[in-house]
Amino acid sequence: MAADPAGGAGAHAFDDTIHAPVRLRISGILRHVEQVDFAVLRDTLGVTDATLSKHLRVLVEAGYATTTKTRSAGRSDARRLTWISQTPAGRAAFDAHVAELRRIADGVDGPVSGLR
Amino acid sequence: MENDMPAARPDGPAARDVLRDLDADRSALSGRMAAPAWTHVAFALLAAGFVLSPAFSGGLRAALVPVLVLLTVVLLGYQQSTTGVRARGVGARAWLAFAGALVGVLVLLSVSYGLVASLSPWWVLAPAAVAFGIVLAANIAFERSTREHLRRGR
Repeated sequence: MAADPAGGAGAHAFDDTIHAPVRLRISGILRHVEQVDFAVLRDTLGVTDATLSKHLRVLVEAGYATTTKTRSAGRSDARRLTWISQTPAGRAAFDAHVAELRRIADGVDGPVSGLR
Repeated sequence: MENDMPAARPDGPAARDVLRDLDADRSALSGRMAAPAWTHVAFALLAAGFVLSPAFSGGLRAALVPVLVLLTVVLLGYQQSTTGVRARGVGARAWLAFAGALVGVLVLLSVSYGLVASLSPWWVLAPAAVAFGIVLAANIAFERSTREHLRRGR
């Protein structure tokens, strides 16, 4: 394990890709569902299409999320639903990240002056 | 919260705020998971249709059952796409409601066959009405349990 300037092994679980606020919230939703529709995720988080797309792209490129398109049963036009799901790697990274947040929240690991 | 800047490693209160926000997002999503009320009624009608099926003659019954199965599958798909959420887990209470409804419908189906054989086809309306009630209640309980499961983050 590499030297940890934060002074704890848990610091390695602190994932900057996930910790960006919108991406953390996306990951938090995805962690507890099999799949969620893009529009439902957007409305739940209260962000714009562009913002959600941008952050999803980062998660997909990091291997933390995947998207699939299916025909919509609730629409008469040709639009399709975009289903978003979390990959096993995304789940593991999120769980480790949240475990680290809990450690910090519980005061096990104090705040670090050198921000990552 | 619409930035993608690398966020600072939080201190204790900030970490607690982040964890609270994650809980709030799950609660918000569970609030959006409600399927249209008519889908609950539709599932109950399909169950009542299964229980009614012994009242029909062989050829009609043979045609009715596959149609009911197909409609059930279509309705399940519609319910998922209309809520926009495919749940990872539903919780023990939801499975209990599902199992109870399944056993109830099967028992009522056998009662229907017995009534058709011993009394009159019209008597199957009674078990069909009971099946409607059981499946309606079970479907609503299943959805509530699923939403609660998500809200608690299990």
